[in-house]
Amino acid sequence: MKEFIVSVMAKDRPGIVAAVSGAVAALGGNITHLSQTVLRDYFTIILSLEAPDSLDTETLRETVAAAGAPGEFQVGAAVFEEGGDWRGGRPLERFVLTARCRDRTGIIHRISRTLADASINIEDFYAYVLEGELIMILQLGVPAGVSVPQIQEDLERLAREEGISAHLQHEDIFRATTELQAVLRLGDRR
Amino acid sequence: MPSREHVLATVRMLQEEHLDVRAVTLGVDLCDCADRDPQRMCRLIREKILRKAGNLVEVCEQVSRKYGIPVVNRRLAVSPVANIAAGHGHDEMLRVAQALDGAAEEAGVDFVGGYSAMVQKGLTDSERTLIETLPDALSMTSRVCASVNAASSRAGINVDALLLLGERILQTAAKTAERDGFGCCKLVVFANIPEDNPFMAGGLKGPGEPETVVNVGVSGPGVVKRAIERLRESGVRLSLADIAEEIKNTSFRVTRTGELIGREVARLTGAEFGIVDLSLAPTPEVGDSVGEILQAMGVERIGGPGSTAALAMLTDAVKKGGTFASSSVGGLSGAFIPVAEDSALASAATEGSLTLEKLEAMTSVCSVGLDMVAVQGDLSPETIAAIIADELAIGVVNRKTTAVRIIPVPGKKPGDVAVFGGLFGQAPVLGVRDGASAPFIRTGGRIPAPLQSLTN
Repeated sequence: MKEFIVSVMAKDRPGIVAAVSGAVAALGGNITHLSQTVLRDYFTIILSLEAPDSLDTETLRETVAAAGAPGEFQVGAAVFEEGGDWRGGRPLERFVLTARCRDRTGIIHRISRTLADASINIEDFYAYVLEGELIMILQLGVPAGVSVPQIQEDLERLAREEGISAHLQHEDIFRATTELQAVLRLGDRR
Repeated sequence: MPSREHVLATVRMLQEEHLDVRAVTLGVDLCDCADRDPQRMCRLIREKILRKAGNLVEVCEQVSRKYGIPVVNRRLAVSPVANIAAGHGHDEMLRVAQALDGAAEEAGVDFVGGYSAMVQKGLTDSERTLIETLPDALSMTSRVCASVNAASSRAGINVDALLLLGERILQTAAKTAERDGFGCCKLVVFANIPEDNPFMAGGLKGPGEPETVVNVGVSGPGVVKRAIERLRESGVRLSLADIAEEIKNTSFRVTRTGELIGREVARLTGAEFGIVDLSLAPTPEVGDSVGEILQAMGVERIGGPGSTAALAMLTDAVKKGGTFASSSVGGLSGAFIPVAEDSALASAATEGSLTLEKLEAMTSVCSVGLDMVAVQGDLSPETIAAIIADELAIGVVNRKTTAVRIIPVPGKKPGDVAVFGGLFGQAPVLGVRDGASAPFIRTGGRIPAPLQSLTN
């Protein structure tokens, strides 16, 4: 068996997941992981599947694309490879960065550059513009050994320079205030 | 990851609604510092406090930064000094107060509680000495807080102790007259004192507590008020049950924040985690007021009819949300109505809608009692004792904690304003009819413990 990664982007409508998963099943593929989201009426899905060794990426890509109307699905396909060990075996602590500022070009780049320079990985990112204000929520994986106070200082400096309101907080404060399990047990699921 | 709405709601509570941790209080047992040599005893006290609490401020800053939650006050609570310094006289007791003051300053905390005595049933020699030193101790030190438990549901009310306290409260006010009797802001007289209260001035490390223990007082008047206002602004037709639910939900979040911070501070300081105190603790800042919550609930004139019912509902909802959030809830856990420390209450008292008698009624459904109440400075000790006796009777009969922090302001008359400054705020001097019950108080002795059955 081989493992593949497939992504599909299309204008949203009912039936896209049914079409994509039907194409995968017809090729003898078994979907093992899947994440789907809709942003401003555009649908994207990324999925991982196991398939017979005889399947190649081009056949997979073409079969999935053919499951939609002509030109409807933009499909990417690749053979799955284990991720590089960018964190060097260090455990991760999860933080949440929330930021808001007047919407303008380059803000997301400035913030993500600051994080990248500190070896902090963005695991989840959601941003939207509301009444001219850009609101960002990022879940971050911070490897052990990275100085959070230093990053907070860098972000505060960036915030002053760019007129951003930004807050970097450990994920547990959000989990503690929203999840029902005991505060004592919050660490168990990490 | 928690939902985006929840993330933004939590950030809003922190940034716009004054959610903070009001007090992280490290309890330190000092019983092993007792010594016949006062110099050695004071040295042991200083060494132990710095050994156990030396990194408290640094740890609180670190944890505060990690979670993005301000920890407003870092404090110490120690074993009742009347026990540690038993066998010593007036001057030695004062040296202990000064040693505590110095150690608190070195540790970087603003207050240390525990200059205290438990006298609900009777006074030992050292407890009498401690009460006699209160005017000196509270005027000579800046960080030491004192408390006396003068009543309990099991023992009744020690009126002899109250008369002694009435005299010492007036002397304390006189010794700090240049600050409107500020020394009295650091003394609380209790019925049914909790042993794990993180809030000053009544905090101490009770005898049933571990060697070192972290107790946390959450805040949240601003958060609760905004939650109620948002509910009202939503335009949905509301019933009082909706408001109670909203308060419960908010209390849940606030309590969880306190427990998260408390547990981490305990871990990093090597202490045990004790409790979260749910009490809504106001500050003089506008927007951080229990009185404003009552106004948001629809009580237009605080102290007017409906105030007690609204406060009862608020306190109950806070307790329900908080106890669901954590199994480690304790301390006072109610809603504080300290007149000087709450701008809306102080305004209501100035306007005359909030009187001492109505305050007393309101304290029967919340914690902690007649708190930060300024009265005219020329009252007799018997009247001060009688005011305290009334409040403690509410606690004793209802098996709850009540307390009195009363400031007879030297040279001031009803309607004048007493200014204490900072977190202590300012308040109008309330009028009290003097001398009405002097023969009752002077009779002395103990009001027996109330019946525990026939509870109608």
